[in-house]
Amino acid sequence: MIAIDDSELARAIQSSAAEVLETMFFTPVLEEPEPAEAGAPISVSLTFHGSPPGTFQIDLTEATARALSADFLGTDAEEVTAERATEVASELANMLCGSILSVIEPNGHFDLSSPEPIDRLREKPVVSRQLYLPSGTLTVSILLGDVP
Amino acid sequence: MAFNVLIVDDSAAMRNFVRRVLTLSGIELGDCFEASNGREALACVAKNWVDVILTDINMPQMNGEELVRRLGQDDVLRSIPVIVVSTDGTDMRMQQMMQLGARAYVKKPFLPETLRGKLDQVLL
Repeated sequence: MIAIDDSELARAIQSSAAEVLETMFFTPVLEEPEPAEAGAPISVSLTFHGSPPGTFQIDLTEATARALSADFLGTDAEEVTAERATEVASELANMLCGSILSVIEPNGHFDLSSPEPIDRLREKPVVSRQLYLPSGTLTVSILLGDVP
Repeated sequence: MAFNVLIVDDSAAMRNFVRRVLTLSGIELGDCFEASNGREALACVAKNWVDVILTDINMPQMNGEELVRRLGQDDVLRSIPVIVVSTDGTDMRMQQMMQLGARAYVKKPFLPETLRGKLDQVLL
């Protein structure tokens, strides 16, 4: 298994997330948070098996998910249903996780589970990074280690 | 000449995105079919003329790896070029899919021109 410290992992999260968001969602990552609409939280989690195995999670508000969905699908945020917003958040989680794993272990082999919406934040200690988007904050968390 | 495309991905949002990129890429699109897994994709190519398949890897019921393997075992279907579009950008996975018979590999995230370039590579 590779040895990677938390700061390297945090940098991998930052760079991968910026690439995914700018390339696929046409959304910049900002230096500072901007006032954003509050809303119901959406959390999506997936597990990955490989070397190393682990758990991955993103947290954002429904408003942020709708805005990202609109950018991703080329439509208006008002037209995005809650179901579609969660679906796009799941695809975002999938892309982010795959991209981060490709950075930290380009020669590795990983099997990712399907992203699943979850009800609450995980309590385990994880490496986490907050990304400030024009529509709100996206929190990306990863835990390397045995998958429950 | 218009090309018929089959997009295989278990995420309807991702299929929608790829379709949008194809439309924006300037490629002349004929029919654009969609399937949510490899099994549906095989059913689609059995009934329809498809010029190129764009497929994800991780999908329920039949994943992209098995889809490419099954296509390669068919004397007719093996001629359809397959472009893998996946979040898995590890060298091992890319080599594995190309050895199975995929003609090109696009790692997500990707720019529209990257996908267009791969389409040109396998179609023209």
